[in-house]
Amino acid sequence: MNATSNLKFGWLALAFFISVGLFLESLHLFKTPFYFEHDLRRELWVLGHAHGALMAILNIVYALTALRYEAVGNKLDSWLWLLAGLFIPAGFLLGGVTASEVDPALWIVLTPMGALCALVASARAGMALLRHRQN
Amino acid sequence: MRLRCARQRFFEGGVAAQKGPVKPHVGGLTALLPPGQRLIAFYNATILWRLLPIVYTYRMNRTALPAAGLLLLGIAWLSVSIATENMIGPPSAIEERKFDWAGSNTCRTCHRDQYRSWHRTWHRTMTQEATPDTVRGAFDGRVMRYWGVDIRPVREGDHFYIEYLDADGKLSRKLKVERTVGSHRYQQYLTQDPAAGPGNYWRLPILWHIYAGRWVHLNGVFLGSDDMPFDAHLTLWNQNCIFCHNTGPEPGITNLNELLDRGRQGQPFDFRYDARYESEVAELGISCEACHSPGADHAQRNQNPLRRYTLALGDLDDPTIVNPGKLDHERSTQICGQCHGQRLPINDRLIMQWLDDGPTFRAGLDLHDHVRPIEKDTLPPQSHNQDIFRLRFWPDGTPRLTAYEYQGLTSSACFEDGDISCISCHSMHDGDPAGQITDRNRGNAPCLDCHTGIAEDVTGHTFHDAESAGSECRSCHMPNMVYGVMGIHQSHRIEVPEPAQNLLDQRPDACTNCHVEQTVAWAQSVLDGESPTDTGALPRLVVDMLSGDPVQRAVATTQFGLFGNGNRAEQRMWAVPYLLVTLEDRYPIMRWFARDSLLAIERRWTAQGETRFAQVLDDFDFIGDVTERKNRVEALLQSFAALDKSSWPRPANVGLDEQWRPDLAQLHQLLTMQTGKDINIGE
Repeated sequence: MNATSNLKFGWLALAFFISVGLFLESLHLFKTPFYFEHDLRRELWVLGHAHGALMAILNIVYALTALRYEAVGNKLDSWLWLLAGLFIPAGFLLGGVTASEVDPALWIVLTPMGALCALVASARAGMALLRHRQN
Repeated sequence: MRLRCARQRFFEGGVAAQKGPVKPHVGGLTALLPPGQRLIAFYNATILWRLLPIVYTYRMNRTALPAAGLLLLGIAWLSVSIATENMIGPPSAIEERKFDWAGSNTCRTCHRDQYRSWHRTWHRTMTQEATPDTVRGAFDGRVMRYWGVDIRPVREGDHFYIEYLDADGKLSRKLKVERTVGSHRYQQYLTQDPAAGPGNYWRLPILWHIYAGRWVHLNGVFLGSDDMPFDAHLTLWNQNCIFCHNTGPEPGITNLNELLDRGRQGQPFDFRYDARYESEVAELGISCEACHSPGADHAQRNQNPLRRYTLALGDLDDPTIVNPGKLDHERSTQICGQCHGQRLPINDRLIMQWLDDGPTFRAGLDLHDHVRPIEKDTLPPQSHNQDIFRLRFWPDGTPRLTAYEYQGLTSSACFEDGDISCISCHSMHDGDPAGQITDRNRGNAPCLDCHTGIAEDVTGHTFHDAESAGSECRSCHMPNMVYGVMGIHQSHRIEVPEPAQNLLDQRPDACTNCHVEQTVAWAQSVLDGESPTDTGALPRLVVDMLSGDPVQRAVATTQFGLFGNGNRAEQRMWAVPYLLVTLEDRYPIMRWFARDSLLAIERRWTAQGETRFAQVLDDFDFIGDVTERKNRVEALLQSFAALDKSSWPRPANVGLDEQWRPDLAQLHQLLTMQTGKDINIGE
């Protein structure tokens, strides 16, 4: 697992979440009740689509940064970004599938786990770049 | 045990503090948190406390890992157990619940879909503050003269007024519209009169009929004759409409004891004029908590996600709220019955309580612990008019006014022997807001859910073509025989048609309601499988329309305007001379119905490509000047007489001569039979 893996993952994930966006638009187009008449599901899937695309881009950004600055790239960070890119959107999307009218399904716990990964990875990248500059 | 004690200490300043002042025992910071979050903080602290030694042990000895896992599972299980016991609450009787109102905006934060589906209903807009967005009437300054009084609805900026004019056309009184009641069929208006108590809201004497797009004086809306005075339906909102057209009503009477003292001392007073109110409602209109019970406790407890997920994952019912769909059919029906079933508080003490704190029933409770639904034989609280309730029912006890749907349904075999409830057909969150019925339930589906065998041979059961209106369950089992809101509606007493018995009970029957040219004898013989008997008698509807009491006349008059699938206009033309007679009825509402039926016949005729026979009908004002009305009727008679009738069927028993004129002696005899049958019922 290295930065190149994040680069591959990022582009593939971006393609996937763009297709999710198209899928959501088609649900809008046909006013599909399963999506259209369930406010919480709609919100969760939109969030899943948006966060998925964002995390894909961040994986690419991380990979490019790691390839440029050696101090940033390591196996743990690659895993953290990858898990963040998987868990955050997965929590939203799966949480919306069987959401009640009030709360997402329990899959939503993936989202804060992914957010934690993203938080730690971001902080580690920032710290590494600070150290790199100081050196 | 220690955990339990710590939990008890923790909650002394937490959930338990809902009923009293906060007593923070565990740290100042946690006491500042809302109870739900305080609970989470408590569980997190507990888990961390338990984890620390495990982590330490793990570093010392890797074999402790399985033990740590088990301990974590144990903590999770304990947390859920505690959550179930303390947050969901032990199973307790709903009667012990605390009822505080939250308001629909609070409900919306979580139940957005349900809020949206409720928001489009007429229940929501039942009572509203008068604003340009809510007022539907044409406040265009046009003067109307009804019952000898000139009034003028005007708009000034964002405010609406009803002006009273004197004999010289000068302004004598100006009343500001403060609130509106209704927004579907018609809209009524409320004003405040500081001289008669600043908190008292009075209903104004005209309403805006939304479907007809016109103003109607209240004397033309309710069951009453032309003899009524202008203010016959003057009503105080605080002691009438407030109860059912709002959520959480509290009339707040301020001088009840004074009035009671005056009564004891023999001093006369009029409750309508002398009572003073400072009324409050939880919410204007009928909102979530009217059907789901007050939800403040529910909303507060469910801020806690652990509680919500415990309920959802455990498929548990939340005892802090009521879901009518999960109640048994009796309790579920009672929720609607709190308003759609006219009732009286069960005793005098409750009557007094209603006038101050409002109705005591809450969704989920037993309605009969709080009110007595009014039946035919119910005596009014003050026995000044023994007929006041009796006249609201057909002689066999079937309700004949709207707002008695609860009495109708609960006296049906489907309710008594089955488990039908209002939501078997209606839904607050689905379907067309007019009637709150889904497309599926507008057909026979709800009945066939139980009566499965009938679907296999519909015609064999109904004696009608399977696709015709005669094969709709409600046509025969819920016939049109209920008056309300300027219309005739289906009965909610689901019953088997028995024309002969219905005749004895002096009430309409399903068969001759549709077969307008037929007699009860014909209907009964067909039902009995015998050859139809030709007695030569007048059709039942003609007899009822001309000689019945006001509700009989209203029901009969409307039926001539209802067409089944195959009916053609010329099949109803024989009824036109009789409908023209009813255009001169002493009851305005009968004239309204007669005009409607004539227009319906005309519309059907026009749709067949024929020439309109009565342009003048459009201009007939059922509550307009009497001379003007007579002129219009005369013009209609002349128009009708001039028409070529050679191709129209004229049944032998309908009592018309060769010129399509009714037998005057018979007509006079029938009209005379109206004597002594007057009814005056307002709302």
